[in-house]
Amino acid sequence: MADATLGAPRRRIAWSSLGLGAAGFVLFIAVWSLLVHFNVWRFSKLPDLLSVVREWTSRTPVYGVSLFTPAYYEDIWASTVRVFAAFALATALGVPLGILLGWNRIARDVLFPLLELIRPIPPLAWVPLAILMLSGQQSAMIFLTFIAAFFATVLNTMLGVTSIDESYLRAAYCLGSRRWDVVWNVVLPGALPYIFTGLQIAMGVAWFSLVAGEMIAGEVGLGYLILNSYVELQTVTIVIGMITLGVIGFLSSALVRLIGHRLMVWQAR
Amino acid sequence: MNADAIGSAIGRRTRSASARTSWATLTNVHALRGVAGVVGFIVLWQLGVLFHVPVLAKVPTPVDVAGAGWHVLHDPRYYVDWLISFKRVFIGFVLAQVIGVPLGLFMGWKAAFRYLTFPVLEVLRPIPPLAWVPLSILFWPTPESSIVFVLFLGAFFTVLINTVAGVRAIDERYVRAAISLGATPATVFRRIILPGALPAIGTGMAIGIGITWEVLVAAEIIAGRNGLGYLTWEAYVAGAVPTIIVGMVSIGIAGYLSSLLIRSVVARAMPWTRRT
Amino acid sequence: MASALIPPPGATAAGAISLRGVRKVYDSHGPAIVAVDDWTLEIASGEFVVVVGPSGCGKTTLLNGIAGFDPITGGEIVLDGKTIASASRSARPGADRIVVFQNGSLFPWKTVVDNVAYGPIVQRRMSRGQALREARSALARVGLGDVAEAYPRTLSSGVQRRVEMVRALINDPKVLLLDEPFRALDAIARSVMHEELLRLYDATRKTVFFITHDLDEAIFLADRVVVSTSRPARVKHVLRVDLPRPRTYLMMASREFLALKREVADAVHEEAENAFRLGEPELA
Repeated sequence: MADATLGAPRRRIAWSSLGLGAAGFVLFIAVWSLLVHFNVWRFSKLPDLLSVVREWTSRTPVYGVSLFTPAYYEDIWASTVRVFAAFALATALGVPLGILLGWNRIARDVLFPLLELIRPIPPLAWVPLAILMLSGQQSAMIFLTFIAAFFATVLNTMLGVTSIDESYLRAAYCLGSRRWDVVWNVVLPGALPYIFTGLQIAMGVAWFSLVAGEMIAGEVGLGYLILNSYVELQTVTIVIGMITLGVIGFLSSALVRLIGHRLMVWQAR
Repeated sequence: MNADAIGSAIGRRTRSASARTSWATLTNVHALRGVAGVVGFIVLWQLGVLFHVPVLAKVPTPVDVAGAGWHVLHDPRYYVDWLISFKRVFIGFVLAQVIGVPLGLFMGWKAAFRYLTFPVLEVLRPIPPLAWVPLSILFWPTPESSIVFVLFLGAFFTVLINTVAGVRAIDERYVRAAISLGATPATVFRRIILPGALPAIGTGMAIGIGITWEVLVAAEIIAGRNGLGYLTWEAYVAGAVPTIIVGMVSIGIAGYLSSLLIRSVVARAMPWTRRT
Repeated sequence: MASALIPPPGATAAGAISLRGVRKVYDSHGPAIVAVDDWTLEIASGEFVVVVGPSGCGKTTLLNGIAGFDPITGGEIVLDGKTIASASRSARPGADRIVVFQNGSLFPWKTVVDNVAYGPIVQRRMSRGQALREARSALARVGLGDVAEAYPRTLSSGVQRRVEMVRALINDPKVLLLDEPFRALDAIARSVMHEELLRLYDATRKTVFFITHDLDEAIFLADRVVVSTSRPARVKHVLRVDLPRPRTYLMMASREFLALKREVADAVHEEAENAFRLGEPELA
C-alpha cells in the first residue's frame, strides 16, 4: 500500500483499526457537543447530541418521534417501501436494457445518445413532471426514485458487458453456443461485478432522490419527517431523521453488497 | 451483414462517450442512428400526447415545449438564472475539491488517520445531501451559504472516496522505486502519490459535478428564490407546464456542459492516460 | 523443402485444412495494415502443425481467421472440402474448430466440471446430467478428478490449461487451434504441459494448429514447422520433423533435433530482426 509510513525507523501502529475508529466517533461527538455547549459561532443553533439521544430513546418524546413511537416506524416503512419498489423496478428494467445496450451495437447506437441526453436531468427536476404524469403521490415518488436508480443501473450494466474479456465470448462461441447461451452463461455472470457496483450506486441514488421527493411533495416518510420537523422548529427530530436515514441507507447498500457476494462466490479465494 | 452481425456478437469494444467527441464520427452510421433515436423519441412523445396516452395526459407536446423555450430564451431573467445556478455549483464544487482532495490524499496516505476518520465519514455519507438542508438553513447565516453548503456536501463525499481509493491503488512499487532513488517523503507525495491518484481524483470530480447539479435543483426549490431549479419549480406552481420541461432541459444541458468541461480539464491534466 | 509442403500420405478427410492465398487487411481505422499476405498451406487430417514467427507477425490473425473470429479479406480457407471462409463469406466459430487461448479462458464463474460440460450442454448433444457425468469421467481420465468442483481461480495456471484442453477435446472437434497456450506458464510447467498435450494428441489424433514463438516447443511438438515472415505474414519456410512419436524430452538433445533447430532458427532470426527494426506493436 502506498500509505506505508516512510522514514528510517518505521513506527508500528499500536492501535487496532477498530480502536481508532471508535476513537474517531468519540472525538466527533465530543467536538460537536463542545461547540454547541460553548456556543462557538453559530453552533448553538444546532441541537446537541445528548438531547438528540434523549429524545430518540424516550418513551414519551416531546415532539412525538422516537424509537418508541409508531409514527417513527410508519415513516421508516413508507420510505423504505418506496425505495425498494423503485429499486426492484429499476433493476428489472435496467439490467436487461443494459445488457442489450452492451451487447448489440445497433441498439447502443440508437439508444445511448438518447439516454445520455436525458440522464443529466437531475431526478429532482423530474418532480413537477412526475407529479403531473402520475396522479398518485406514491407513484410519483416511486417514479422519481426509479429514474435515478434506473440510469445508474443501465450504465453500469452496459459498462460491465462491454468490459467482458473477449476471450470468454470467443471460447463460448467456439464451444458451440448460440447467442442466447452466450448471454446467459457468459455475459450475465461476466458483467455481474459491474452490475452490482451499479446496484450499490443505484441504491444510494435512490435514497437521495426519494428524500428530495418526500421533502418537496411528500406527506409521510423520512424526508417529509425532516422537512416537517424543520418547519415546526423541532431541531432534535431533524437530527433523528438524518441519523435514521444514514443508518438505513448504509444498511440498504450493505444488503446489496451482501447479495452480490453471495451470487459471486467464485471470486473468493 | 454477416460479418457485422458476428462482429457485434463477438463484441467489438465500445469506446466511452467522452472519447467519441471527434467530428469525424458525425457523418458515420453510428452517429446517424443516434440522431434517429432522439428524433424517434420526440416523435413518439408528440404522438403519445396527441393520442391521449394515459400517462401523458397532462404532459405538453414537444411543440409546446419548443414554444415555451422560445419565450424563455427572450427573457433576460433566464440568463440570470443560468449564471446564478452556475455560480452556486461552481463555488460548492470547488470548495468540495479544495477540502476533499487534500483530505482524501492524506487519508489514503496515512493509515492511522484513515482508521480514525473513515468510520465517522462512512456514517455521514449515506445521509442524502438534501436531508442536510434544514440543518443547513438553521446553521448558516444566509440562504445562499446554506445552499452552497449542501452542494458542497454532495460533491465532497464523492471526491473523498475516489481520492482515497486512488491513493490506495497506487502500486507500491512506484513508491519503493522512488525511495530507492533517494526521495524524501515530501517528494514521494508530490511526484508519485499526487500524480498517481490524479485519475481517480478526476473520476471523482466528473461524478461529483453531476451530483452537485442534482443537489442544486432541490436546494434551490427549498431554499432559493432564483436559479434554474427555482425556475422549474416556479413554473410548476404557476401551472406553466411547458416551462417546467424547459427548465428541466436547461438543467440537463447545464449539467452536461459542466461534465464535459470537467472531463476535458481532467484529460488535459493527465496526458499520459490518453490512449492515442 | 518441396516435399515438406505436401502433407503426409494416408491422411483421412476429417480435419483437413487448406489455406489458399489467405489475406487479411485492416483498414477500418486509419492507414491500411496488411496483417497476412498470400498465405498458402495444406494441412492434412490429424497433422500437428506449428507456426512460428516473431510477435506481431500476424499468426494470431491467421488463427482467428480459421476459428472464425475475424473475417479474411482475400483468399480462402477450406475445411474438409468446404470453403468456410473467403473474402465474401466469414467463417462462423463452431465446435469443429475449438480454440485454446493464451491467457486461458475457463469461465471463472463456473466450476471445473461445469466448464468442461459446457460444450456438450449448449450443443444439446446430451442432457445436463449426462454431460456432467461425461465431464467427470473425462477429467478423471487425465487425473484431474479431484478438482472437478473447484473454481478456476483457485487452481494453478498449468491445471487450468489442462482443464481447458479437456473442455475442448470432450467435444470431439475436427481441429484444435492453440494460440500460444503455454506462454504464461513457467518453463517447468510448460514441459509438463507439452507431454500432456502430446499424450492427448496421440490418443485422439486431431488436427492441431499451434502458434508459438518458442522454437524448442515448436520442433518438439510438431509434425511440420512453418516459419512465418514478419508482418505481413507469408509462409517463409516449412520443414518436416521426422522424430518418432511418442516424443520424449531426451530427443531435445539429439543431433536430429539440433539440426532442425538450426534450420528453423536461421529462418526465424532473419524475420525477428525485421520485426525488431520495424518496432510495430502487436496486433490483436
